[in-house]
Amino acid sequence: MNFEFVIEGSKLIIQDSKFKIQNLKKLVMKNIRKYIVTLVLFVTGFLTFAQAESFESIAFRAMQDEMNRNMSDLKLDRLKSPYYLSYLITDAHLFSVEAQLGALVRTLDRPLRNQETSVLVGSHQRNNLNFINENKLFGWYGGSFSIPMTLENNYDAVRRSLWVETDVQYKEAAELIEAKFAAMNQQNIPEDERNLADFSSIPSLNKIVPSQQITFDKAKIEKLTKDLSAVFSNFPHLTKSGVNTYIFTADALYLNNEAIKYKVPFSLVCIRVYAEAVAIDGEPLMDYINFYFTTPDQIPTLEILKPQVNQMATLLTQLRTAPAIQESYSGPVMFEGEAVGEIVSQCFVDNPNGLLAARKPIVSNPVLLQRYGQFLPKENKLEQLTDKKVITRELSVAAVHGQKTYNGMPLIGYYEVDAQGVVPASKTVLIEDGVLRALLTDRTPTMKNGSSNGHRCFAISDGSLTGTLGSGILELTATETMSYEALKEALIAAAKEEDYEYAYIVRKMANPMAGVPGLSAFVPSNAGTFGVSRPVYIYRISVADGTEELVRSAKIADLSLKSFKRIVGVADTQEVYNTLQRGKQGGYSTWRSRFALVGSPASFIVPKAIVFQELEVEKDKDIVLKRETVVPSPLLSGK
Amino acid sequence: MAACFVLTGAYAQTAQQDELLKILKNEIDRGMAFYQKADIPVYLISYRVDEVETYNISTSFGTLTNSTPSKERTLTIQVRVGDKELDNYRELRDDASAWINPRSTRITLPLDNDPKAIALALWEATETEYRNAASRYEKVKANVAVKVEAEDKSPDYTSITPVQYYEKPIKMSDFKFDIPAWETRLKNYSAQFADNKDILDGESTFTFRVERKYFVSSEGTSIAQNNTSTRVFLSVMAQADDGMELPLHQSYFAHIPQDLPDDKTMMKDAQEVANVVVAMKTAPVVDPYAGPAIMSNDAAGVFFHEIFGHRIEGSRLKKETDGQTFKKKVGEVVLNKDLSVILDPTITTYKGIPINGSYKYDDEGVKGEKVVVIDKGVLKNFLMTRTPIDNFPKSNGHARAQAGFQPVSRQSNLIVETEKPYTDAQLREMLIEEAKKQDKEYGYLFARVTGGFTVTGRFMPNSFNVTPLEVYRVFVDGRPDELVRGVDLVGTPLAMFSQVEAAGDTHGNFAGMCGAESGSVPAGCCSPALFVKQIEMQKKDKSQNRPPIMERP
Repeated sequence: MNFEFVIEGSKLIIQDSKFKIQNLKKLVMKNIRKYIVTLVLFVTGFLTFAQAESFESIAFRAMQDEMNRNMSDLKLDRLKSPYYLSYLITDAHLFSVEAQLGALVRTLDRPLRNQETSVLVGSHQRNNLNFINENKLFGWYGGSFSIPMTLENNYDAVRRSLWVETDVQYKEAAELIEAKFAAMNQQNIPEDERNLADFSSIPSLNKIVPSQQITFDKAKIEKLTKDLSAVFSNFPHLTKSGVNTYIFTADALYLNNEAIKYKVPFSLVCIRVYAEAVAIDGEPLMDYINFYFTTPDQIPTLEILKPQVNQMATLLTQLRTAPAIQESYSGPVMFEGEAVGEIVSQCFVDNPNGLLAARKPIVSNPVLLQRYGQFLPKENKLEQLTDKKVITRELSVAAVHGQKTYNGMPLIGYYEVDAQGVVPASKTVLIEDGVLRALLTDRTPTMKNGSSNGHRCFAISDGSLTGTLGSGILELTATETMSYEALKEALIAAAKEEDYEYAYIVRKMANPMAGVPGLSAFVPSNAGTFGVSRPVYIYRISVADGTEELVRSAKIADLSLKSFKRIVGVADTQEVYNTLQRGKQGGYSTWRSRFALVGSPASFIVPKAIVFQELEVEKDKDIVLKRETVVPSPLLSGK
Repeated sequence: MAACFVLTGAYAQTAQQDELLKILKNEIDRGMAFYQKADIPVYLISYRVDEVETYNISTSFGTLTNSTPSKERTLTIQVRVGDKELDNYRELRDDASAWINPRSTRITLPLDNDPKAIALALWEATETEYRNAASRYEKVKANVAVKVEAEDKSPDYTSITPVQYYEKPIKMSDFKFDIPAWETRLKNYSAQFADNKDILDGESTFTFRVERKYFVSSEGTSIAQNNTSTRVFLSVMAQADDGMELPLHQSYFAHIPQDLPDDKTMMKDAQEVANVVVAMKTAPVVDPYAGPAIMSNDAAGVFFHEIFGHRIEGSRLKKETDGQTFKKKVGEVVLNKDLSVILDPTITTYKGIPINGSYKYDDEGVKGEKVVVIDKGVLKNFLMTRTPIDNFPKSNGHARAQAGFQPVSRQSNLIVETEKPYTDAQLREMLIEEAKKQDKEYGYLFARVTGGFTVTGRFMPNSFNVTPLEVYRVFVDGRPDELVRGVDLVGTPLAMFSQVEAAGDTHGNFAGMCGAESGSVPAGCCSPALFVKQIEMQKKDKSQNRPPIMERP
C-alpha cells in the first residue's frame, strides 16, 4: 500500500512495510512545525495499524464482516435467507521441480491464495444438501465470474472474492432447497429417510495454530531432484522416467457463523519417482515411489534416496523379462509391505461400500436414476451391517489421531482439526473384532452415523485446500498374529491344501492416486463399481522349496472388503503406508495452478503382511500389448 | 524484436553449436535409418519444439492476484507414412475416430540440453506417433477404397526445398522488463475500476512471452527462430438489471514491453472503459435489425477474419465436409472493387502498428509469404500449407499450430486495403443517407468487438457471428449517438461480402488469438472502418442470473 504526503514542500513516499515508523517520527520532529504534528501522528498511527496487520488478521476480519452482512441482508424475494455460511481461505505457497535423466524439465514457484464458500438455506434438519436435480448433476449452477483472491494483505480485496462466491452459492442453495421441497412433496419418501437431518451440529471451536516457518533451499531441492532422476540413466530398458518434487505449504483459515474458527498450518512434501518399461511381449509396465514428508527438512539425503530408486529401476527392468501368468488361480494370496496399505486403502476407504459414510440423496426425477445412476452418489450399503461381523473377528480397524509419527515415520494423514472445524477423537473404533461399529463421517448424517467424527479431511486440489470425507490415519490391528516367516509357511501350507504347486505374494499394488504416467493400464475404469487396481509386483512362491519367481500380467479378480472375512493370518509387525487419497468428494484439478500434487493425505498403520484364504488371480486379458519398437532406445544404442 | 540472422559463415557455425538442434537432428537421422525400412515406411519425420518463457501479472481492483514466470518446452511430432500422393494425413471421410482421438499431444521436453534425456523423450514419442501413423494409413487406404471419389484430386503433401535458418537464442532476461513497475502500473489501472460499484469485475493483466521455435525435419530443414509478444488487457464487467452481462475490454499488443503505450494512455483508457461499461448498464436493449452499419476499424478486422479469413484457409477447402465458399471463385469479383485483402506474416508492424500474426517460417518449416488473397475485389489466392488443393499445389507458408497440435492453414496478419479511403465523417454521412433510403430512423456503429466465430461446414448453415461489445445508434435526424446493448452481428458470408460499400482512412488493429483445428494461434487483423449497406443483428444470448444481491465491498 502506498501513502504519500507532503511536508513543507518535500515529497515523502512511504512504499513498503520495511519503512520504520520510528524513522518517520524522527523525521517529522526535525522538519515540521508544531501544528503539523497532530496530523503526522495521525498518519503514523494509521500506518502502524495498516502495516502491522497480518494476512491472518485481515482474512478473519474480512470473513467476519462479509459473513455478518450476508447473514443479515442476503435474500432473494420470496426465498429463504441463508442460515449457515462458512469460508475457508487457503494461503499457500507452491513449489515443484521436475527432472528427467538428470535434466531439468520445469519448475513452479509461486504463492497462491484461494477461497471456498459454503452457503446453506433452510435448517440443519432440512437444507439444500443431499439433493440431486438435473442442474446439479450436469454442473449448471455457478456464477459467470469470480474474483481471484489477492496476494496482498488487502481487506477490501479479500471481501470482494468472498462476496462474489457467497452470492453464487446462495442463489444455488436457495433454488435447490425449493426444488428439493417440491421433489419431496411429490415422492413417498420413507419416514426414516424423511426424518434424517441434512447437516449435523458440532461444538464451537476457536483454534489458532501459529503458521509454520518453513524455509528450504530451492537450489538444493532442484539439484536433489535432478540427481535422483539421473539414476535412471543406468537403466537403458526403461522407456520413460522422471522425478517430481512437490512442496506445498499453506495456512487454512476458516470461519463460519456457528462460532467455528480456526487457522491451521498444512504442509506436504512429495518426491514422486516414476518409470515405465515394456515387457518382452509388449505389456506396458510401470513403477513409482512416492516419498511423503510433512516438512522439507525431513527430506533424506541423496545417498539415502538413491539406493531405493536404484532398486526400483532394477526391479522394473527385471519385470520386463518375467513370465506372464497364464493359468487362473483360486487360492491363498499374501499381500506384503506397501501392498497391504494399498489394499486397505482401496477396500476400506476408496470403496463406495467401505468405511466412508454415504447417504442416498433425494433425487428430483426418477429418470436421473435410470439414466445416470452410475454417476449419482449412493448409500453406503456397509452401514446396514452396523453391529454385524463384516471382516474376520481377528481384525479391528480404528481411526487414530493421537500421533504425528509412527516408529519415526511421519503420518501425513495427521490433523488437529478437520476441514469443518471438528477435532477428531484420538481413537474412533470403526470395526471392533470384526464387527462394524461406526463409519468415518463428516457433518452429513447418515442413517446410523448421525454426527461427525471429524473426517472431513483436507485435500489439495489445484494448489488450494478443500475438504473431502476421508480416513486421515487408519489403523488395522489383529488379535492373533505370527511372525512373517511363520506367515509365509502358512501361505505355503494353505496352497498345498488346495493342491497348488505355488501360491502368490503381492508386494505392490498400483495406487490409483499415484499421479504417475502409465498408471491407467493398472487401474480399472469401470465407473460406479468397485474394483481394485492391478498388482505392480506379484511373485509366485513354490510350495516345494519356497523359491520365488516374479511374474506379471496378473489381476486380482475378487478382492474386496469381504475378502477380509477369510484370512489365514496376519504378520506381527505394523508398518506405515502414506498415500494421497481420493476421498468421497474427489474430482481434483490441476489446470489453473499447474500444481500436480492432488488428493487428501492419508496414513495407514497396517500389518506387514496378510494372507487371504482364497483370492482369484488371473491373467488380465484387457492389457493391450505394444509392438516391438522400430527404433532401439537411444539409451541402448551402442550397448 | 530480436535480431535475426541468415545462415552464412559464422552463423552456420552458431547453428551447429546449438545443442538442442543437434539433438533433434541426431535423433531424426537415427530414427529415419530404421523407419525407412519399417513394414510401413516413413517418408518424413519432423520435430517442432516450442520453447516458451512467459511472465504473467494479474491484478484485480488494484491488488495483485498473480505474478508468475514459467518456462516450458513442448514437442510436436509429425510422422508421415505412405507417400506424398497418399499418406496418413488424408481426411478420413465419415469416420468417428476424430471424435475419440485427442487433437493434440503435448509432450514436455527437458529445458536442459541433455542429449540422453531429450533423445529418450523424442524416441518414445516418435514410436507412439509412428504406430498411430501406420495404423491411420491403413485406415486411409481402406477409406479411399470404400468411399466415392474425392472431389479434390490433389496429392496429400508437396515437396519443398529444405531450409536452414538460424537465430541466436534469446531469453526473457535479455529484455528490459521491470516486473515491480508493471505490477504497480497494472494495479493502478484496475484500481480505477474500484471507484464505481456497478463494476462487478475489474481486472488488468500483463503477459510477456519470449518464444523460441525449433523445426527440424528428415528432409534437411533446420530452423531456429525467435518471437516475442506482450499484451496488456484491461477488462471490466457490469451486469444490467435484466441479467445481461456486459463485459468490456481494452487490449494492447506490442512485441516487447517497452513498445506498449505509455502509462498515461492506459490510465485514460481504463477510465474510459469503466465509464462506458457503467453507461451500458442502463443502455436500451436492441431488437433484431437489418440495415446499414459502420464497423469501426477494430470491429472490421474481426469481421473480415470471421466471414472471409477462415474461408480462404486451404486445408479447410480440401475437406469434403467444408462449405468451400470461395474455392471455385478464383478470378471472380467477390468484394467491393476498391478493396484488397492481404495476409502477410512477414511484417511485424503495419503503418506503425505492431501486429501479432508475424513469423518468418511457418510450422512446416516453410517461409511465410505475403499473399494477396483479394486484389481489388477479385479473388486470387488461398492460404496454403504443404497440403495442396486442386490448382494450388504450393505452400505459401501459412501452416500454423499451437504447440502440441498438427498445423493446418491459418491466418497470419490479415490486412484490408482500400483504393478509396473515406474519412470517418464521410462514412457517417453514407450511413445516414443509406438509413434514410431504407426508411430507417437510425443505423448502427459497431465501435468495439470482442471476437467472433464462424461455421464453415456443410451440415450446419454456413454463417458467422461477430460479438460486439460497444454499439451505438446513429440517428438520421442528428440526435446524439445512443449507446445500446444486447446484439450480435450475424450473417452468411457471400451475402454479407456483397454489402461492403466503402472503407475508412485509418487502420485499426485487432491483435487476437484465433482458435481452430490446430489450436490457438496469434492472428492480426488490420482493417479500416467499413460502411456496410446491410447487416443483420440478432439478440445476444444473455445470462439468466440476477446481478449480485449485495453491493460489491
